[in-house]
Amino acid sequence: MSVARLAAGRAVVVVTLTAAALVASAAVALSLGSVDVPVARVLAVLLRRLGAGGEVTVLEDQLVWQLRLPRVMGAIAAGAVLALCGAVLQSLTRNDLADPFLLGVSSGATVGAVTIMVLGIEVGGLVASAAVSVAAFAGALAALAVVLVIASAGGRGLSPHRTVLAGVAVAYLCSAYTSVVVIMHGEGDAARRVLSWTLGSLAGLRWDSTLVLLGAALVALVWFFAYAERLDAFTFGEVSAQSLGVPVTSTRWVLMVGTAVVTATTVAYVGVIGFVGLVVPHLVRPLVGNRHRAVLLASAAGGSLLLMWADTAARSLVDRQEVPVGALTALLGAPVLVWLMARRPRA
Amino acid sequence: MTHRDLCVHSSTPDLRASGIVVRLGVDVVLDDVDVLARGGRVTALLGPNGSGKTTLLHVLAGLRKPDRGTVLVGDVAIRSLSHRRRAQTVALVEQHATTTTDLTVRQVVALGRLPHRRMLGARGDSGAEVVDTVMDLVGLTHLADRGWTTLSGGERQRAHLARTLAQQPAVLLLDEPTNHLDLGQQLRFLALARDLGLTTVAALHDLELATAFCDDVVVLNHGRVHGQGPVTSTLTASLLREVYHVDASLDPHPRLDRHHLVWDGHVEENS
Amino acid sequence: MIRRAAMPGLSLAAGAVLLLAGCAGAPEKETATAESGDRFPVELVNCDHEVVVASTPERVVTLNQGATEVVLALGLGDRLAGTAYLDDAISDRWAQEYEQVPVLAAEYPTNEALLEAEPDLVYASYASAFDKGVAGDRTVLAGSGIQSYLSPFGCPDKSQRPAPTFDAVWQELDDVAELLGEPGTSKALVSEQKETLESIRDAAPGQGLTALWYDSGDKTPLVGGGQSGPQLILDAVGAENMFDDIERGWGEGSWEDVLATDPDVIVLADASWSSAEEKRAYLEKDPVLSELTAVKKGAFVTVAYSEATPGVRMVDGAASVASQLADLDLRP
Repeated sequence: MSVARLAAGRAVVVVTLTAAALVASAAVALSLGSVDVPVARVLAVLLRRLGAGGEVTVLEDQLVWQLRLPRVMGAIAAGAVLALCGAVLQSLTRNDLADPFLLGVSSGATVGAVTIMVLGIEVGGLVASAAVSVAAFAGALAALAVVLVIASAGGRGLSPHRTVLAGVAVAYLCSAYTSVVVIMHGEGDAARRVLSWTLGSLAGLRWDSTLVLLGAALVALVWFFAYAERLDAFTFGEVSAQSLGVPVTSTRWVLMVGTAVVTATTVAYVGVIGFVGLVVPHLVRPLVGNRHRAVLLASAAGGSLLLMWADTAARSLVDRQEVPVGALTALLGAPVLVWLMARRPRA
Repeated sequence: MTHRDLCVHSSTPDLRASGIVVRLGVDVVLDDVDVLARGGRVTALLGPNGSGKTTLLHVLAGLRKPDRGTVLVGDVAIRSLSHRRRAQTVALVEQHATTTTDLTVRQVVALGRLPHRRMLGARGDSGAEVVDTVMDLVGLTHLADRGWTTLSGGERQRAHLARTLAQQPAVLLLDEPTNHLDLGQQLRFLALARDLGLTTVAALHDLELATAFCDDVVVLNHGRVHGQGPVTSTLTASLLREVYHVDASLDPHPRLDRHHLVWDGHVEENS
Repeated sequence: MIRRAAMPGLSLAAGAVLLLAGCAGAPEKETATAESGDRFPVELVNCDHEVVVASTPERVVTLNQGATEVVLALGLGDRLAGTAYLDDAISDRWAQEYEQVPVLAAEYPTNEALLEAEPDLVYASYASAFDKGVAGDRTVLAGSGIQSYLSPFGCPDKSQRPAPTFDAVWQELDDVAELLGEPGTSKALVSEQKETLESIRDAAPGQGLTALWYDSGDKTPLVGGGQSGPQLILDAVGAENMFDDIERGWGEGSWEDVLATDPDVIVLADASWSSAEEKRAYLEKDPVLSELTAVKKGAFVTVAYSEATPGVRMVDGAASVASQLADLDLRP
């Protein structure tokens, strides 16, 4: 029917516009940084790398292609993953305040990171930063396992209520561990370093890590898009979803583990960046409607844009210094959240 | 217009449950329950609060595995079907289906097409036709693009019914569908359900509505079947006294060609 | 009559004995309560607190590594009754003497543990040593007869902190020596340090070189800025600090700037929470940073963390950097 076509058409337009915004933003983001590189030189570097020839200095290539581009692509990937996971978990738990870290991923990752950073444990031949990433990933999965065990005990499937509670409990446990380790074993500026990691940063991204992040984003996008219609079925709750033929328990397991694994991958490389997963889904729904196919795509695009801009601001706002990107997303996200809640129609 | 325009099933099958036992911890919620809902007829599921009606409906819908017993649709065991096939066979309108998401009526009804779609598939046109047909059936076409939050209770119930019909099931299960509706809306809804001609089981609170719109009745009490069969022969004065503690009977309706409930007063529970 | 005649003689003799005793006198290090008379009481104002030392402190407790090393450097280690809170290892030259002194705690001791050591003077480098759970308020301590001294670099009121310079370090040495009744010790030490510094400046092994002072961090480096130990050391050796415009002792730098500047030499701070090896390994394994000239050539200099913070070992730090630079022989 023409009405359905119109809505679909509108969604397509919005998604196309955000994609165009992404490309334009990336071009600008690549020219910003501690050292000035004009947009024209940025394009020259890109063109040369893509095989079109041309002359650029070693420094320009290092800055644009090896430092900034992985960072911008990493922001796009990480932003997409976080927003996608936020959208999925909000629908799955029917909780508007759910975010990708619901299942203990961020607290578990911090436990892993702190263990390496403060206790100085070595991980076979890896540089400290790589060891931290590995430990963060392992910690996140361990926390996820604990949350799932607690949430599924009692055998009524992964009820949203139990899952949220289990996540909170595990988060408290992990933060206790982190505090004790820092206070009792922390030397020098241990507390500052832990806080800095926790607030997230895309500064350490190079091509090897960014390719992993892009892979995770692609997997998340395809996988969750396939589940989009099942997520629509959850609109009226578990019983209706079941009646519509959705296997509720297995869907919950698959999606929760899926979001946790891709989020853990992201957190392992860039730390805990909050608010993107919480706020972006709410921002895109008024624009593209409520069908999950549109919401998920738009959330991915919106998350990419938001994180790319937050990261650009993080490294350009203060001269010679990096503001932690997680602090910026919180600064942006909190008032947006309040505004969204205020304009909600009384249902 | 009846379900025959939508029908994908060759006949209206019986819904038969045998030996259903459901335990919740130490409590026995359903104790050796046998139910027969005849094809094409409307069966009322009656019983006081806490008698196990919702649980039984969930078992009949294949949503809950009983500790013992089987449910057959025609001659197919419902638990042997895949989730998709089951959703194309039996559909449930549940008691309190709410959402804060502001979907349009059309989008809500379109959810019913899910069992007929593949995970990454594109929307087929047949889906859209079915959606339009069922919206017309329940009388919501003029509200197709309205947001869910703007609808009245009656409109929402009809939308849920349309969504369930969009699944094109052979069996329709309704859990207290008229709870938050005005009398007029109640009558309209039940008339609609009856006229569809599907095998229907409706859990109802109101004995009068059951008498007016249903062909057969199953009476549950404390998880056991107290009696089942055609309405007039099952709802005897003694059953009404034992189960509902009322002095009442079904008498012929003064104007219409059916019976209606006449009650004198309540009865002390110990007498 | 004899008595009267003997009196003046006796007095003279007594006076002579006293004088002789005074001249033969205790060598400067011996404890001589008679000496207390002319050196004590010592009064000075330290971080807004009046310090009054009435007699020679014999039981000094130092609560931070910086303070411990000052006392050891002045050669007054025998006055120590207890030490605490090492950041890294005590310098080799004082190691033996350090071993003789009881260590009260790996970090700060509890109030009880501190009082158990029966200190008469408590000396710390950071204001946190006078927090409630540790030494406690300085006025309260003074009331119980325990004097205290806090390194001016750690004054709680930031406006009272001196700018980090060698002179400010030497002033602290003078203060402490005076409080301990041995002002001569600091004079000797300071002139020794001045000489060392002079010779380093003359040699100027870092002349014409640009340096990156890499303290810690990986994604974003914490670098030595323009206003503390790192800058003083680099100035002493004649090298240029690429981040000297950071108006603090240390600050966050950017790898982009490092790539753009491409420093000739990289100074790695060595601390237990961020070792020089770790930082070097990070640079060598990073796809972009390994392209830096200094990394490719292995132009690294290592400095112990305690030798780069304003304190008595800073001159050692400068000397160490100077000799490593000379070995690297990077001058154009």
